[in-house]
Amino acid sequence: MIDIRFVTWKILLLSAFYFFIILSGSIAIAAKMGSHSLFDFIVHLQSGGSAGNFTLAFGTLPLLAFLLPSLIDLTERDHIVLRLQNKTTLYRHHILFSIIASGIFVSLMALAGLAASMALVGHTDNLWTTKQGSVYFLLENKELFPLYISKVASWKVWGYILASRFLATLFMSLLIIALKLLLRKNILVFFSALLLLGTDALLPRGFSLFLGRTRIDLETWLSPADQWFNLVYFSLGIVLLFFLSGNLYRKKEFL
Amino acid sequence: MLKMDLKRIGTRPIFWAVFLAGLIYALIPVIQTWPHGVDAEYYISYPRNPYVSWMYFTGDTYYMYALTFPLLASLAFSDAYAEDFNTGFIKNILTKVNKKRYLLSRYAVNFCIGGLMATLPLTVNFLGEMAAYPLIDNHYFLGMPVVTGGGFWPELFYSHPLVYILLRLGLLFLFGGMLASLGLAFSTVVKNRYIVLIFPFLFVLMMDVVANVLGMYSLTLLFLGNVEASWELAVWLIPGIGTTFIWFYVLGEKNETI
Repeated sequence: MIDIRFVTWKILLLSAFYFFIILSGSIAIAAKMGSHSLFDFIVHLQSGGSAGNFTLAFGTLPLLAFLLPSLIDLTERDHIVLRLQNKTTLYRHHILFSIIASGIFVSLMALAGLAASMALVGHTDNLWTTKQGSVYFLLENKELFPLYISKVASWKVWGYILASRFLATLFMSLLIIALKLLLRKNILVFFSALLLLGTDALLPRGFSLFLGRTRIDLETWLSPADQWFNLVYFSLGIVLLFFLSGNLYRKKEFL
Repeated sequence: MLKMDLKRIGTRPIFWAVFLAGLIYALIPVIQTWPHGVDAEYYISYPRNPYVSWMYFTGDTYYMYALTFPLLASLAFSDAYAEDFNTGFIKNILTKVNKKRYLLSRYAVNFCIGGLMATLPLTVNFLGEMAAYPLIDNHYFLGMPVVTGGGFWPELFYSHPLVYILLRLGLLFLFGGMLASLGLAFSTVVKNRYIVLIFPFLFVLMMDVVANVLGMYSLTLLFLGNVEASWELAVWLIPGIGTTFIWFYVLGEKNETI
């Protein structure tokens, strides 16, 4: 993969440092909100958590919006295109890099949540299914709690969190690549990516086109249909952006 | 030097992109709050005024504005030094202007442009709201309780609202200038223009997170929110402006340019 060769140690260390600060801050917000078990530290039902929207909007998004356009500039040079002999191969390298980067980001979020839970409450159990957990605590109408028990089983929560975060990160990456192809100037790409994805992620619950769909609260867990809709929505967005950018790439002149 | 800088700013596409973004931020709330079906009696019932309709308190685009505030400040001109350095243009300038004068001028112009671009949406929005509503006095009990007990200087808001607006704009001008200067100062050590431009944004995000963890008001909340604050603003602004100036001036002077 060509892109990864251009990620210098300096950039890698600075990015890791920045992401670590954001992750720590996000976990601290979750801890302040009252966290008692593993998933509170990963996606708190009120705010924060290592894989919460805060991390996606302030950690993953700026890093991707900074890294991807820079790497595209570095790799789209005469000698590299001539060596590959095919424009779409270079495009596939960018996509592969995006997939790997999304995997790394999601793994870091999950690991940070696990480590925080172990360090701060001494276990990694899922208490959401019990009356000691945040779900029961936050429910206004406690009689609804039995409805949640089967829906917040560990494997279901892990499955949705990992899948939604991975797809959302990949969606962000592909949107940034598409913006780079359309706008060319890196700073404009950064600015527009932030406007489109960042503000959408942090606005209160309501209609959302982009990262707002990764919002997780009590209602999300009660509706598996919503969860599936979000996953399908991101998957379709990824496919659409993949073909759109691919098409733009074929028309692009490098030499 | 100043004339040349102003001419240069006017030819930068990114400056006009930021300008356009600022106008969009400012005018969308004006369109949304524009009074419809107004007759002569509308204003008898003590309607809204521009002070309470200001996007700072109610605008739908305010969230986007607050998020991108550091970018608005830095994008217009913060990479000028890095650009001069990378292209070698600085050599041409320094054959005609003393280096100290060049550094001072670069800092001053960048500070003012950063501050102006950062406050442009709020200024345009206030002017737009003035076109829609009469400048009647604020009244806490007549639907205007936007600055309450825990807010920023409520007494001033209800006694001298125009002074309040100007004070807010002044503080944001200084904050925007400080962030633009941070990018400029950073360009003395990193010459990648892209990194220079986004550095103030990443700095503010990191500071916000650290402040949140420490249980303090974040930079964004302190300057762009409506919270009780006084000396805290000076604690950020004075060292911020002083440090960036010394950083830029000292390292800029040391940098080999010719």
